[in-house]
Amino acid sequence: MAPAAPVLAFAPTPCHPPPRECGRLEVVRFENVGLRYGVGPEVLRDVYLDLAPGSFHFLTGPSGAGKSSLLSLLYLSRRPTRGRIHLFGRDMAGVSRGELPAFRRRVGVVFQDFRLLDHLTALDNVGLPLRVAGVDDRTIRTHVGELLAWVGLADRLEAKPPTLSGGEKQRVAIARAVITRPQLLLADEPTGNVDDQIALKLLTLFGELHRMGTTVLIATHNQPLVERLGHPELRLEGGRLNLRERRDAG
Amino acid sequence: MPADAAAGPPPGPKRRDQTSLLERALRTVLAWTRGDLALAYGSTRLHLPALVAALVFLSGLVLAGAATLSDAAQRWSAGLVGAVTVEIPAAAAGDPLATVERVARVQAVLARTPGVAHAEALPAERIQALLAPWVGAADLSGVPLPVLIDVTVAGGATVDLRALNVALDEAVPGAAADDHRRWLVGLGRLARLALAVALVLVAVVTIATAGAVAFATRAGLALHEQAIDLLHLIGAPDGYIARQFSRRALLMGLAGGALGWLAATLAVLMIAQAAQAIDPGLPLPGLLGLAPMLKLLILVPAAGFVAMASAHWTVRRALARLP
Ligand SMILES: Nc1ncnc2c1ncn2[C@@H]1O[C@H](COP(=O)(O)OP(=O)(O)OP(=O)(O)O)[C@@H](O)[C@H]1O
Ligand SMILES: [Mg+2]
Repeated sequence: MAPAAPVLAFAPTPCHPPPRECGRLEVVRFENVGLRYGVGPEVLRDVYLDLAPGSFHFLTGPSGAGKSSLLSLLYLSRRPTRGRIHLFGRDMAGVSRGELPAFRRRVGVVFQDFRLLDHLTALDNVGLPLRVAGVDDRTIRTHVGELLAWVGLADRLEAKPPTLSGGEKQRVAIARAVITRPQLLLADEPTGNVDDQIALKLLTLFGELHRMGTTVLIATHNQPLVERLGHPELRLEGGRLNLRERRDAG
Repeated sequence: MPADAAAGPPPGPKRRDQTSLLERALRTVLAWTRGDLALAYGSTRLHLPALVAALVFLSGLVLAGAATLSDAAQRWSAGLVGAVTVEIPAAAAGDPLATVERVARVQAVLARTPGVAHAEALPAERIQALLAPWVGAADLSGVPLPVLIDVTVAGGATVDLRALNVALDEAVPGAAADDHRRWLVGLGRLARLALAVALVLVAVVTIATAGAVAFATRAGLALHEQAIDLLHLIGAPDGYIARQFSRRALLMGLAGGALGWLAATLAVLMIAQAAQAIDPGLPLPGLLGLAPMLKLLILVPAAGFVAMASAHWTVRRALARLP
């Protein structure tokens, strides 16, 4: 599925008791994870988290609760100060620095502030993850063109981010996050600066990827949207994580 | 966003086909030359090649000088090794021994000396020419001149200089043989010293080049910090990010190197021409010229390589701090 054939086999972690979990492989597993910045207080405390393949979760919580921090652990921007994180069946504590890029390429991220490169066109921005993975230019151009058309930016391929509207930038950022068909898609406030209607459309896009088997985790403040879509909600409060199922809605 | 935009599954690349070795090699070469992300060096992109040019110019001149000196020394010594010169002082007025007689006696001694292959007196015109710088074009026909005898030593043989000198002095008082050894030793030492100084200078210049490139690269890293963070997070290996800079550094090093080499070559050619204008027969500047400078063309890829390696190492070291 990924463009650059991943080096990693999707091999299950060695399975110790409890045997109930044997054979089932989480895309993400946190065990007793804690995170602190410098000598500050723990931003995340005793976090346990399992994300099954193909699941869709919202990550909510008051401002400063640690949502972005939790996501940054998932896209391997930092390591936890304690506890274990398993990604795609591998204990990240045992993964060398040289192996990390291959893991990062299996995770798509929509950053809260987009992080588009202003001097590159929309086309080049979206193609960046493929280029980094060594895909050739022609393949990149075709796939990026198709994807940008799919998010409704067919006529903005050569536009540079400073000339794009907020919503357009957001779509470029989303396209860049999904261009490699990541197994895990993370989005940090992807509906932060768009109106509800566009927000809903963006989420439809995530739903589409979810239907194709991508595991999705979206951090958001937008409670009405969470209620409306009815996916389970992971709530961060006081550095701890609680799961709220929402089977009624949808 | 249009409502129908999200209809259907998103397109995406298929698994990459098995690529042939050749194709991958080609892609690697392309990756080195393609302007990938335009993570340029900012304002340093012009002053870095200029600095490299100055440093290559300097090393080019010094190396050309040292090479010329050691080349000249080698030529001189090649002409002197295996040669002995016997000097017979000019007959003073009233000296019973005429010049012809003196030469005959010395020749007789040389003929008896083991190791001597051939001995020949320098013609009077050659001696006059050798004296010309001191006495000018004066008519020397009436003046008694010393006689020089060129002795060729048989290949592999040595002449016992001390014994020869004793025999010579007996035959003709004041006649002496010289095998130029002291001169040769001094010449060799001078050439080696010049070469060593040149090499030390090249080492210093190499360090200076690497340092300047590292400095400029760090500035470039700071300038593009956010882009580099992003590349890192989307799974770019360190080598990929480093290439963005090292490829630029390679080009800047090559450009600066070429410029510096060109300047040094022009300077050397000008010096050579000026020297030829003084005296076309001058042996030393005759060696200065295009040929040794062509050998120094190696400085151009060397500058490129030093710049590239320095940039690569600088970026990798900076990236190692990221998780
Ligand atoms: N790089 C950092 N260095 C030090 N402290 C940090 C850093 N990043 C975040 N924090 C602190 O960690 C806590 C959690 O921050 P985080 O950004 O994860 O919260 P959040 O849930 O994403 O908030 P928001 O909803 O406002 O985006 C905050 O108290 C913040 O001040
Ligand atoms: Mg946040």
